[in-house]
Amino acid sequence: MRKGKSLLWVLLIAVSVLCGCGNGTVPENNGGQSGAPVQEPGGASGTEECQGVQGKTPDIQEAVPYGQPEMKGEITISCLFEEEFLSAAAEQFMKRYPDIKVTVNSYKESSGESAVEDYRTYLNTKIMTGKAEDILLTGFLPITKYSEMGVFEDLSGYIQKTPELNDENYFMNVLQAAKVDSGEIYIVPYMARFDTLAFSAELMSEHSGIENDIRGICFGTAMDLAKQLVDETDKSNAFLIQMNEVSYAHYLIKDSIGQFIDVDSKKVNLDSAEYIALLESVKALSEKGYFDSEIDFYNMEYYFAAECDYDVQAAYYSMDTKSGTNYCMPLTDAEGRTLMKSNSCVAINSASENKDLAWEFIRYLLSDEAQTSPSFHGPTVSRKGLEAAAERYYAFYKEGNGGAGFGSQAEYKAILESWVEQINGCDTLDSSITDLIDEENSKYFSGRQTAEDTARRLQRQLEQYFNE
Amino acid sequence: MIKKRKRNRILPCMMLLISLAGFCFFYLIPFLLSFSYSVMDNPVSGKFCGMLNYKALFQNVYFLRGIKNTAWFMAVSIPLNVVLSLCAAIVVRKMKAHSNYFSLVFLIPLAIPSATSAFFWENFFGLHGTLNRFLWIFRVEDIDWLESSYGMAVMVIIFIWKNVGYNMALFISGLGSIPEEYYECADVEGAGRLWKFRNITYVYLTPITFLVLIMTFVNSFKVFKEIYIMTGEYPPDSLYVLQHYMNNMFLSLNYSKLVSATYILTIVIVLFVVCIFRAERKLSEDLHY
Repeated sequence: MRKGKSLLWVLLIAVSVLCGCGNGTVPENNGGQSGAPVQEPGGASGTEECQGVQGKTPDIQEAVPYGQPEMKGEITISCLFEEEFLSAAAEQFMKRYPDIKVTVNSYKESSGESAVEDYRTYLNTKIMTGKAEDILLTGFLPITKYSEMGVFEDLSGYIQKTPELNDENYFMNVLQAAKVDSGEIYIVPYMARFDTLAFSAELMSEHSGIENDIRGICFGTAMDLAKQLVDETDKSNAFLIQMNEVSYAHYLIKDSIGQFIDVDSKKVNLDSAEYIALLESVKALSEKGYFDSEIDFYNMEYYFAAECDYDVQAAYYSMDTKSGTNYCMPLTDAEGRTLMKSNSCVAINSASENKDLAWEFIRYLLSDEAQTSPSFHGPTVSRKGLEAAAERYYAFYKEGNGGAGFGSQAEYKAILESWVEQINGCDTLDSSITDLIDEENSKYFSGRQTAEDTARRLQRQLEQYFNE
Repeated sequence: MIKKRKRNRILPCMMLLISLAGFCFFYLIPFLLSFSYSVMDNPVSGKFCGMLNYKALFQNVYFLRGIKNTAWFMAVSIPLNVVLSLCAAIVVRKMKAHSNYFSLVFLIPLAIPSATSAFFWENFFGLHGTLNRFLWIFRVEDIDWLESSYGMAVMVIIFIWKNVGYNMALFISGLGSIPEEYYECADVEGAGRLWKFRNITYVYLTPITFLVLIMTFVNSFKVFKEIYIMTGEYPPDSLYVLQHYMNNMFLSLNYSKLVSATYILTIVIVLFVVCIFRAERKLSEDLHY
């Protein structure tokens, strides 16, 4: 009886091990690839061909032409919130290819609901059970961790072999902005979103010695200048920027994030004197009244020396002489890089059985037909799309001014284009890191802990985050 | 007669089978199936890596810290909880009036949701919390109880506060089942309180004590909820328990390490429960003879 029981247990364990191992993937054999699996024979037609040429063998990569797969099957897409452009693109794609079904799985209907943690847990479970969608919208996802774990497919091969993806039609600097040091591209943007910064025209008019052709500025430098503007003006109610201490510190930290966090080597340097000095400097500014805590927006005249804005609006206001802003430009980091936001990007699930079809859908998202659609709210990655966006946004802002617009549509487009062309990197820092930093910093600014305690706690928490 | 006896044997088995099937489908089989994850480098690539994940775990400073803190916490909180709940049960049993109200006070924490109790404890032990305000009367400097080396003590207090009532209720029922005649007989013989406790109460409470031990052991894993609400995913070193490690491994998609840690923990739990049952059997035999 006892022997029988033991045998049963051994059998159970053996069966479970065998079942678990047979999950449709085999050990990777592509060395240079960071953790992405190779599909078993019998998968989508072009996949092995594409994976085989990634990374170490660029010469072969160029030699193999891209072949469109059989346009038949189903593609699934996962996103946190319902996206208008995605639904519209899916509909158009299905019209074009009636044998393909595109299903968009939105975790929440509207962006009003805060569900990032829940969505991550939900998606993690799906990824680990091999049931995640073919295409993942990367907004709110830990891009670096997913890339390291091999969740995302390397798309560099697909990009290289898609003939229309070239400098003539696209802002290739944007399409390749997320390229990692080893050459892989795990996420591809469908829009080029970035922050901009402008200075108050009124306060700038009192200041001399500033060049008018600055192409980009980092937050720290901008705030030094903004402080000068506030200090030099005789106007009352002049403040630095419309932000609280936590947001201000957030931008300052992101400015030189590399000094405090090295994601590649998993090193954290937040308990340094520099970080403590940074926090104390922000608090000192707050105590000296550089922030706007007391403004009565309806009953008093006030000035902000600087203003953060979003791309398409900032480009218009940079021409608008009555907007009150001047010297509008993209915000860069301390090293002068203009970083695109990673929340307008897509990735392909490396465990997907429809990678080629998924790429075909992404290809459609990047096509002029989709990119010129009004459902894309922002600067697109295709040149024709940006032209259409410029036309739409210029008309929109002109209408907002009662039909009396500033500058011309061509001028507006040229500004947007020059800004998009400046992009040379992608901000892929996990939002949980910045959330942790902001949370601890807010305790400091509200007087619940000292700067030293804040730095010490953050050091411990982020060391755990990287090295667990 | 034989038919009836056979039916009496089959019916309970069939009823148990339903429960067993549920246990197998939802717990046992998924648990066994998950073993494959622990021998893969990561579940996405599915590359076999043997026992490397287990080896890596024993070299991981956070996993080792989790084990150390969990072991310390259990070693202190479980016996303390058992002793305190036994004392409370004896006191309640001896009370002549209002014993029901008194036991209710101990049972209230069980009905309070974890988030509410975490909020309370955070405000109590926080840097600007009630405890520090109270200690300031004696000019004691503010202490960040959760961040300091007292963190483990805080965890033990929260655990005892939450669980002592439940164990007390179990002990009260155990004490109630001891026949009063034994104590009366001992009184006639002139036995002291300690003798009565050692030779009557302790002997007849042995089975219930083991039940309390096992329940406390199981519940000791649940203190994580309150600690997690109070300190988040990355708690101070003294509050970092195994569940933190597992939870964070899940969030960072590291299922291989998560499953490996689960298997290690399962082995420890099984060994502990087996030891408890063996000890109980041995003790019962000794007491019987």
